[in-house]
Amino acid sequence: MAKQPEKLIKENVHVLLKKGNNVKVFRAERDRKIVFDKRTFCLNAALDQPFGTSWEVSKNNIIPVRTTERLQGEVQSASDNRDIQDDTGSQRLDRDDIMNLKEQGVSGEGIVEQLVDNSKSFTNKTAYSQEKYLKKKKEKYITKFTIYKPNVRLLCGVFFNKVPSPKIICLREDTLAQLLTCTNVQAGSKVMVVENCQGLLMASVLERLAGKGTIVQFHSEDRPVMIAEDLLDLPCEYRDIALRMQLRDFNKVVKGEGSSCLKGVAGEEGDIAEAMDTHETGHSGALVSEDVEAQEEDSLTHKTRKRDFKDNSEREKKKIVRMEKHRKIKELLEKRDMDSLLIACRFQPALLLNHLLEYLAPSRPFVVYSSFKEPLVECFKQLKDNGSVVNMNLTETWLRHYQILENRTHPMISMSGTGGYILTGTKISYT
Amino acid sequence: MMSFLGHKKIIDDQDLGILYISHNNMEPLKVCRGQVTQTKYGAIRHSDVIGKKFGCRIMTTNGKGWVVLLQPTPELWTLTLPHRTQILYFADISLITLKLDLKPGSRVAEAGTGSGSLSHAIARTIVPTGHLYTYEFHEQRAKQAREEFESHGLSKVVTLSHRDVIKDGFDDSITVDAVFLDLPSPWLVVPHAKKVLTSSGGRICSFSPCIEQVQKTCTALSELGFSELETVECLLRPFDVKYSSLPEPDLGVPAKKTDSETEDSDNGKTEGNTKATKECHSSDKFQNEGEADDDEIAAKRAKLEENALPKCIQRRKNPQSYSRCVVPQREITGHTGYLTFASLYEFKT
Ligand SMILES: C[S@@+](CC[C@H](N)C(=O)[O-])C[C@H]1O[C@@H](n2cnc3c(N)ncnc32)[C@H](O)[C@@H]1O
Repeated sequence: MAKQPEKLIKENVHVLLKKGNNVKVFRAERDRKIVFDKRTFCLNAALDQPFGTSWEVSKNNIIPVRTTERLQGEVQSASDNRDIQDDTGSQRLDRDDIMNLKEQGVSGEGIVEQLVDNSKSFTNKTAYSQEKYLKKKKEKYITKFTIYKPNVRLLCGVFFNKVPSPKIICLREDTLAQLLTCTNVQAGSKVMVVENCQGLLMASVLERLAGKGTIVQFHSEDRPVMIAEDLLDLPCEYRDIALRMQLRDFNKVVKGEGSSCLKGVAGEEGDIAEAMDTHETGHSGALVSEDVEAQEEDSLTHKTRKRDFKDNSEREKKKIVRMEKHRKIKELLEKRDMDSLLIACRFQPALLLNHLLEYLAPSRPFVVYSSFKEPLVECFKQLKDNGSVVNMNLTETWLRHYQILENRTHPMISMSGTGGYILTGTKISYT
Repeated sequence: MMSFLGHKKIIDDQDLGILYISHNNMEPLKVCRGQVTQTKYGAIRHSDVIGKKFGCRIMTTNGKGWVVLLQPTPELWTLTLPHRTQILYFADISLITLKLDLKPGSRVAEAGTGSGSLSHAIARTIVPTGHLYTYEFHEQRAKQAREEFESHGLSKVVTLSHRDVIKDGFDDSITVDAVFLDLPSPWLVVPHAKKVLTSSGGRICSFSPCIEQVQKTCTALSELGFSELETVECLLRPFDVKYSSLPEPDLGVPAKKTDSETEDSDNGKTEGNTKATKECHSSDKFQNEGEADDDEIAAKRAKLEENALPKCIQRRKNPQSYSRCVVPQREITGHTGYLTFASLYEFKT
């Protein structure tokens, strides 16, 4: 098969480096030093090579390696472990010897070989413990990794393994998968999204729409978090269909001034966020109250204020763009004809759901994710009481990984304890 | 023409819809002017449905209840389709879709088609530019599935071949980004799969109920140079949200009267011989939702505030002892199958 251009590691695209469970995303820049697996090196050699290739760090560079190597069956082994004693002292090489080897430029592979040759107990080990020993040593002395093109599946793994915080939702892959499936997201859909998943949910929806349809994103941060969208290098035409607005503008933009329905959803932070936002992206005087402007004054440093002053016409332009966007969103939502609603945010979902459900067309699905059951029970109760929804289901999933090896197949010793909870349903109408 | 793809607002004559009768009670319904369909809440005339919106309540002719006709989605279809084989369900389908990296434009090969539960979901995800090649060696099933794809508006995205993939492999002229296997001996298909799978990161998934099958499939995959092997199991745990009674224990201690709960003092006495937890099931006939929904109608009628209890509970002894609880279902699906995933990267050196 011919090499497709997007299958090659081009300069400046994002790359995902994977060594066992150690996974990190970088930008592939020429001559740029990166740190991975406690080693510092450049990715130059990998540029213009295909994704999926494996590399080994040697000094500050990387050299290509073949991926498949088999250990089983090649080594002589004892049948059981009756002759094995504690390992300490069975290794003839000491730390200095190993340092020496490294300085001579012996590869990690070479060091492990020497360690095996100089181990008094290695040949007495069972095949299983030999393999374990080799694995451990290789892990330590060899930085061998594969470069993948970041995609939703891989990125979800990276994000999920991060330490979760109250501000960030780390979706497990099965949960993310269900959010996308149960809302029937497809090219051409008109979708509403509220998320605090570092942009992963947004990015996945954008990918599934592939530039066709619309997404309205309500973001609680001052500016939408687009980490995942950036790391995936989603093409512009995919991202351009997103209409993004601050959640706290919902009331005045969508419902029109007067009522104060969504107050309190974004909370106090919202005020600060708006102050920052208005300063960064320019704001429409008509939409911002005086005290927010006062706050804004406070929070600005002299320097940025000066710059702002200079860029006045720039600000004016941004303001117009923003108002135009708000007008579009209002127009779109007022048709009450949206196709899907996805909520995975760090706020109480009930109020949010209640307001956004109004814009979903009848017969269309919604989903709410929460790390806790209770807020979803609240939503369940609310929707039951107003009878606007059918097929409501509150579920969680178990995801269990297996080790598959000859005669040693079993579930992994540790597993993820929770992927969170989801509430799904379909909107209906009285007429 | 009716299509599972896209979004349709108004119900036309000859449209396929999914008739929602009550919770966990739905069936496919083809709208035909002049026909009448009976449900447990009474009859509906199809001519009353035509011209209405998908998703709006339809009163039955006797006025006793309502049903809803929903636009079909792959997920609703999975719940209501005519079973010709074992089928895949929502949790597995979702994970397969994500982990095969499916998106608009993906080219996919599937064997066997079975009842087409997964095929519908794949088609939805890969439109408009992708394509699904699906294979089924059982003639009758192949024919039925082909007819379904046709009448569901999927024939532009799905090509079905009546073929034994173990014996004859896939169509050699195609190249796909992903292969999915759900048949008894997937390891025998792996070599064929490799021939049609792109070697620059193609994905494969095999679904098997038995661990021995997984073992053999994994061996075949690694022998043929597949990498990133991973086997998982994904189980859905549904919860019911319902009113349950949890009365105070009777310790013979006179209850303290507080401002807010002056009526609670006789709790212990009257509940002495009741089971600790009692679930409430309504016999309210007006209501047309299923078991977990006993509270709904009462709630609606009485326009209840936050913590008020529905009427069917209020009629009981000690209604105060009821509260909304989340209960895992007593019996759930404990196993569907193991999903094995792998990637294919091969480079000429
Ligand atoms: C369990 S069903 C697949 C169900 C499907 N995944 C779904 O969700 O509806 C397995 C199907 O594979 C078909 N099958 C079995 N062996 C086959 C073969 N060698 N070639 C083609 N189809 C085969 C069977 O006839 C059966 O319909």
